[in-house]
Amino acid sequence: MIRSFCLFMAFASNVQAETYVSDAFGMVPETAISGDRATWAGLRTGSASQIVQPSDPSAIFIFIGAKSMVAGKDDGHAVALTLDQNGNLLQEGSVEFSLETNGKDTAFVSDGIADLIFQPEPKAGVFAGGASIGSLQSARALYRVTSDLESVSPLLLEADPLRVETFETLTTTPLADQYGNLVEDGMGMTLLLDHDDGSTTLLSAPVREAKAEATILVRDITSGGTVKAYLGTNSGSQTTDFEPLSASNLAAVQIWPITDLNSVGVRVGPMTTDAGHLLNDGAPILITVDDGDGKLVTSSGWLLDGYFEAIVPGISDRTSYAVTYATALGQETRTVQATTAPGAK
Amino acid sequence: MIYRSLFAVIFLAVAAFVLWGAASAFEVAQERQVTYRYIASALTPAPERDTLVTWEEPVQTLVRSLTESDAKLIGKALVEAWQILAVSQESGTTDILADRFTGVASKRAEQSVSDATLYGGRMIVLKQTAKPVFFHKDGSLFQAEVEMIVARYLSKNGEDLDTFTISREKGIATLLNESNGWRLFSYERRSTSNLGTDKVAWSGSLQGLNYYPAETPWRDFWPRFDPALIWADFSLIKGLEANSVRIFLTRDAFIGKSAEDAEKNLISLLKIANAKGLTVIPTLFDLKQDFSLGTWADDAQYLERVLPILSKSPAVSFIDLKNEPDLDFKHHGKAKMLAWLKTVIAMSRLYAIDKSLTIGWSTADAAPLLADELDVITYHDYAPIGGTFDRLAKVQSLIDGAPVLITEIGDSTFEVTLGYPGSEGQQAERLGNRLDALKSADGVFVWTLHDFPKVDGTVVGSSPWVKRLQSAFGLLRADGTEKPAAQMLRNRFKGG
Repeated sequence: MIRSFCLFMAFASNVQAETYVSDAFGMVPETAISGDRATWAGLRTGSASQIVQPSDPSAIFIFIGAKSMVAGKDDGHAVALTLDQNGNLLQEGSVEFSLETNGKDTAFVSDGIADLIFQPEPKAGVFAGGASIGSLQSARALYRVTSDLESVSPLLLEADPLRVETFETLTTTPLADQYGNLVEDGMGMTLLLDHDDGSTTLLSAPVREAKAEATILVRDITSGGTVKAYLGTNSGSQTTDFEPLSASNLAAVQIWPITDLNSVGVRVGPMTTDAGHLLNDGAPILITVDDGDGKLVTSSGWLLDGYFEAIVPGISDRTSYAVTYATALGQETRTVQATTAPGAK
Repeated sequence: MIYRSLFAVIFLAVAAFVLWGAASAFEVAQERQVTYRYIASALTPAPERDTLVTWEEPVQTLVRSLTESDAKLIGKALVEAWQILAVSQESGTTDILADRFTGVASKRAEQSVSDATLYGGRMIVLKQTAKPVFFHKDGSLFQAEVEMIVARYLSKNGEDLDTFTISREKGIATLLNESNGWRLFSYERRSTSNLGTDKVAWSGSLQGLNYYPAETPWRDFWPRFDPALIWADFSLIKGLEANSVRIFLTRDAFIGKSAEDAEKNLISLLKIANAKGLTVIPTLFDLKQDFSLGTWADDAQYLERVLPILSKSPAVSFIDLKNEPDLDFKHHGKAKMLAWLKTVIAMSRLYAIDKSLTIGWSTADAAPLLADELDVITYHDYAPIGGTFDRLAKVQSLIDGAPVLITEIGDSTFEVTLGYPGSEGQQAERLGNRLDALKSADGVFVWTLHDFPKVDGTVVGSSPWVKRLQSAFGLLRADGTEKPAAQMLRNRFKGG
């Protein structure tokens, strides 16, 4: 018993020989604690345990978020982190927040933090805020308020009738939320053109200068319809008409007999539109040749460079023929005299 | 005739010397330089690291609610921050602090590492509970009241443990969510209280065996656990008139993915022991090799998993916290090992409040270490038989009436020739003599039930000589038949 007591005293004597200080980050001999370490706030145990208190304010940092708030909907959160000259969290004091959208307000410090919930004015833009404690002022923090897209009702301007082979521009009216904040550039919108014949055309329309605009080349479209503009789940619509093309003038028709084959050669063109260009390559054409004796022979094909040329069999040699041709520009019947083949001497 | 005998003896001596030399050379050739890359190890994500913080309800309604994902990320940052600090204090390098510290906390962490290098102080956070106080609406600033269990120690020379504390403390942790994730901006400690050290008295008289299955000893035990085999082997142990069995809970089996299976198997083993009328001495942290400070929080997690199971079982007599930790003093430093053991003792008191604790020291000389904190004193005695009685008497005289058990004695039957270095007959005789010398102990455990056909070189070393010795300590041969020592032991145990 006595021996064991002596043994434990020997162990204990090492422990008791020197006093050690423990703090939030470890342990050091009390005689070796640095001046800097001695200032760390919080509980320090040693020969005399003590709570080290923070000194006067020396630094203030501000955090404002969320970084992007929806006008009229999102609250902002302004937070100040306050420290003394040794980096200790302040335990008391009041912080004055100064917010560009809301003016000034005060909050109290607890464990180094003071915070303020605020609802910014419903005005879109980038704003600045700051905080101060005593004579100390934080750096400036920026925050942003964006338009309330959910309240934007996209409307479309009345569009000109759709005309084949022309560029048609579909445009919205200026886009603004319920507070009058214009929708920012770059916002993506979708335009959907529902044609009367059941087909649809999808267009992407980025917002620029508060308007969304999309241009469409009218081709392979045979009817008008309804244009819808979508921004999120909101949409607006506008009807649009279709205006078919017409011929700008009568096409020339040449016909020449090919006696050996009991046929005639026919050439029609150029087919020009009232938009000032040739009817596009590949446009379908149907011609009918009447030999004057009641015999009608048809031939169909596609335009190339505004012309259609074909050999129509089973037509006798005559001095004149009635030729009917039908294209997207309409149908025309012409009586033409037989000539020699183009290029023949 | 005399010359012949002399020649034979010289020949055997030379042969044994050559064999020993060859074994030593082979052992050296098998040595691998072990580089403890503890910094990398600390940064390697542990599977449970993000769950090491227990979250409590916020002090007040938060402007931004803490989601499960937030809690995981912030919890991981809190855990890793303190692990990195511990690793940095141990290594003396501050490079990795920036991973989890920023602002004020970064400067203080650097200062603490500098002081730790100069004066030998260390701090290890073992467990954390956090109660959110503040969360910025945009998720950039977070503050929590944190309750931590923290071990601190200081050793100027690495050998003497100059001071040690383990306490439950509260503080305010402030974190910033920066480009590389959450980092600790500030931590201020507000209060501390030392962990309880109430001891749990134990009395009894145990006569038992150390146990591993013959085919699956050491690392293979828990991954290849077979309850039918345990049932059969415990029947054999009971048949030797033993009333207790000492088992080993490898650390790695109870951490990570395998832990759930290992826990179920542990419960199963304890039920089998109870059904057989055997008490169990579970030995924890078996085969733990890395004691760097970055691993201690994981060790606390191991205790939190294992001890409630052991605490609930009526079969558990007392708990052996570590097998032969004194053998690690030289490699890891005595002061650090003692601090680790004190930490484990204190943490175990949290989870096993009604179970007595011991440490299985490798020698009688080490047995008085930490005796004032342990409930039961246990050591191993493989030293010369002649001093067995005196060693026990000395330990008993030093430890102020606490029960003393010798949890390992044993003798190998590995025989090269003519009873050298051992034989089955000598095993029975030597074990019998040692048991006689230990009659005044409160219990004795023999190493071990079985011979081991395959000995794990990572456990006993790569020396073929040692491996052969270690393979033949069993009371039962590899074929399951009893060696003479088995009957001797049965008779002794039957006699009480």
